[in-house]
Amino acid sequence: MNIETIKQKKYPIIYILLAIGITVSYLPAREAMIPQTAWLWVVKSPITLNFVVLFFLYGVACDKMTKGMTKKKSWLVWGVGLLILILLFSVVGGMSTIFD
Amino acid sequence: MKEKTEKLLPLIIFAISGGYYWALSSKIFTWLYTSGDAGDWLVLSNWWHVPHQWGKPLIVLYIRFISLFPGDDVIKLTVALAVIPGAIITALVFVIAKRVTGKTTLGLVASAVLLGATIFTTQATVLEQYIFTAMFLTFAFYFQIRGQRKMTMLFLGLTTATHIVGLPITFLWIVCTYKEWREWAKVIPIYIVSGILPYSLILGMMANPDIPKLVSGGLSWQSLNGYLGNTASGVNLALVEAPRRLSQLIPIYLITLGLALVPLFKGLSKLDKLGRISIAVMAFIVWFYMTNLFPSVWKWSSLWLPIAAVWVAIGLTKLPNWHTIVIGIGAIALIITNGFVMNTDKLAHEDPQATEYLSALYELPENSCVVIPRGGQYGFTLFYAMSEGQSIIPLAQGNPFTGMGKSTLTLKDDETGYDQSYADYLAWVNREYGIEGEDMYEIVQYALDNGYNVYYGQPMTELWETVFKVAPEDKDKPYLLKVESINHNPDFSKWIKTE
Repeated sequence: MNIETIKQKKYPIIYILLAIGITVSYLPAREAMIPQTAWLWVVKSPITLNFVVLFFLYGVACDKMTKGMTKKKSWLVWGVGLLILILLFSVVGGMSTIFD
Repeated sequence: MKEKTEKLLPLIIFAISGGYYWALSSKIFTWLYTSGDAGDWLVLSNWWHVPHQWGKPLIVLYIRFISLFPGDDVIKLTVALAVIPGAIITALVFVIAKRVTGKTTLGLVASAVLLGATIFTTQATVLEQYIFTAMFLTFAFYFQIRGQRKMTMLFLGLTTATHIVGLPITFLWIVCTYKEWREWAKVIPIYIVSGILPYSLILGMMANPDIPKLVSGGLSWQSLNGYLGNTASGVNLALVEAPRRLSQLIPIYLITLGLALVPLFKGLSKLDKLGRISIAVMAFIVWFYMTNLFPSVWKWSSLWLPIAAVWVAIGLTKLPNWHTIVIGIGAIALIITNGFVMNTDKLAHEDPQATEYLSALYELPENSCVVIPRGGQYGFTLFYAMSEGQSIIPLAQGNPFTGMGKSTLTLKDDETGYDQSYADYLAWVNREYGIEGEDMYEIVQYALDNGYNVYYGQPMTELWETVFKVAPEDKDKPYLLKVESINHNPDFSKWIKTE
């Protein structure tokens, strides 16, 4: 199949792949949903998934905000953003001490 | 004739989806889909009671109202909180999708997509709160589309009064339409009245000394801090756990939305105001699930699935007609499959853990003391047995992470603190049952010294084995193990404030 054929048949291919994915996933997903006991995934780590999410959002937001700014103002925005980020981590970090 | 039928379609969809959810719903008390909170809701059938965080005042009032009607508590509440709201949402999705697309067929497909959405089906067939909350959120979405700001605000408020997640959702809703902040500001009082003020009911119940101090304590800043501050399971998933969580999330969403993922993404590819609101609500809940220590937070997605179903219909307007047929067939396939494989009633009867535990509680001798956490599936079930009139004295257990009694939530090593909520519980258990003591050790010791039968209420763990010495003949029992003595574990003792 060449690229053009694939482009033309994009949706049928996606639907077939999805149907296969649903069939293969059904029982594992069911197993993940039916337990009767609640439990926690507790791994002691200072690096949470949110650490990455917040850092990413910080980068995107500051990059967007500093477009067209002078270097000095740009440094200010990135700096203030970093302070906010540290503040957020302090809150999240404070909450996570319960699992230390 | 055709017009008349079209007008009846929402009612027909309500009846069909209601019948489907009712047929699949559990007719017995169950903890399926980690619905251990069911016991907490059942307590409200008999008592005014402060449920787990953060109170959910509208649900408290609603269950108290439902309890006025005769019938089995489990069936009544499952129907009132899950089955009927689920059917209302499915019909409402039809109305919304038809309105935004102008096509009856797409409205029907959107309803079918929701009816086949596995996550939604699990929550619409079990005694839980999420579908009830989703109903108000879907109404808010409906009124947003109709441009009725006051009604949107009213229903966002009602969403908040049933679950605190309504608060960040409302915030995001307004942020996504920040240019209209002046108009929003004018209707904020409606939100305060419908969403925030109802929480005064919770404060009032905390202040009332006659209401059992089982989950929350009395009304004070310290007690509120203990009650509301216990939210550390959210947002704390370690980065190294992310792949494992993702490997759980993908299959669950795959079997929930199925082929409809294609038109969903198509629909959301160009974002207007409504699209921004929808994306914000969906992203917030998916983020919360992705970063939560509880892997069972997938069920929160019930809140955004009705909105997603509408976007599936919108997406289908941008695709050739054959897609509608494919999505319709895919949805029907999921409806049928879930009908057999996710039959909640059948699953509940096959593994009736909750009913077996409840029966075991009913078989305990009168005035038995049961050591139990102030929540969780075992704790809530025990509270329900108490509310049903079973003569049980709850000896509340400190959380191993929070100390054993008088401690704060974040104690470490040499730190000490004071848990006002637990102190309020101690005062209540003393007033009600005459049990004396200043912490968990003392109340258990008091019960043992005074000849009470003391049982350890839930499955024994390695951690608590160091504290409770159980009768040798009970060692292999799954729960309700007879306690012979209690030992001070030095690792726990150092967390307890000694005065």
